[in-house]
Amino acid sequence: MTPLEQYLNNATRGIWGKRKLEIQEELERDILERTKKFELMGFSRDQGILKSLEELGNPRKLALDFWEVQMAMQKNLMLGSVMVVMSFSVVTWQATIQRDYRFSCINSDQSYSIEGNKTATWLNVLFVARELEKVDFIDFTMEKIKTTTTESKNYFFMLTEADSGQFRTTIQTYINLKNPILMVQNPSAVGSIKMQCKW
Amino acid sequence: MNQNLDPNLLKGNLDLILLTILEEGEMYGLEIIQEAQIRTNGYFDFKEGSLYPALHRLTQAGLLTSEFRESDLGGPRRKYYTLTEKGQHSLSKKRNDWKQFSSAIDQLKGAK
Repeated sequence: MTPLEQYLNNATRGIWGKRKLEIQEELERDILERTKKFELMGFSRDQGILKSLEELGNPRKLALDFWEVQMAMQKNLMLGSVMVVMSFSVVTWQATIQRDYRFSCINSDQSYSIEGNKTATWLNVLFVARELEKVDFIDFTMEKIKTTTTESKNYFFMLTEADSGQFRTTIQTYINLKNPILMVQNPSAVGSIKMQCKW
Repeated sequence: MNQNLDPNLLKGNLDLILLTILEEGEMYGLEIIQEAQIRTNGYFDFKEGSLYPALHRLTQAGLLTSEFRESDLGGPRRKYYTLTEKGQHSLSKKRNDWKQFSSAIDQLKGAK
């Protein structure tokens, strides 16, 4: 995936369908025109693209802003639906939205070490940020987490490494958005962990 | 962006800035950015992409309409934004609000 494609994907995370494609097209047009400007200044096309992406800023911030607009659109659509259609249709619409927002699966590609305290019970979200970024969790700071999911708790299994070196399912845990720390209850031992989708 | 410009001031008045620029006629995103820069001698130099969600929000609110058109450069299409009648009314109101606010600040200064 090129840096441009990666940027467009990141800038439209949480957006779907036709709207996602249109936003990507609009941003790509902008980036290519900025790139032309940099090429005229003597930069190569690749350098120009990177400088253009830098000018546009953090794609995750953009994704969040676009997502907020989308949420506002859906609220308006739902209000409109309530006014003009039967209650049965409204329920169907709400159900559709709910399904679209369901938390994506987490399956970690690599293991993460739990170090230090043998009875470690808390794992900072930053610890597994890279995995979470692949799904709906889009921005991290030390104190807060931003996400496109509306679920307050998102469940998955933790796998821990047994003596044989094999990973086995040990506990179910979750990220509580109000307290964005992975709660790991009684991990079997210090060692490596992986995450596995619950769904 | 102008180093001396308070980002909150810009954010709070972004709608007014965008609607004012589009009062001159339809434009696409990068053109709006360039227009803002040229008309204010670089004071509004907002290169960041945050402009786009703001344009989408204004479109959603019915203050702008948008339309994709083929670019003369080929490749992805350009998306043009146009001020609607509702947008024109909103712009007039925002201008009045701004004048009143600015005038009140001046009066505070004069009261010293």
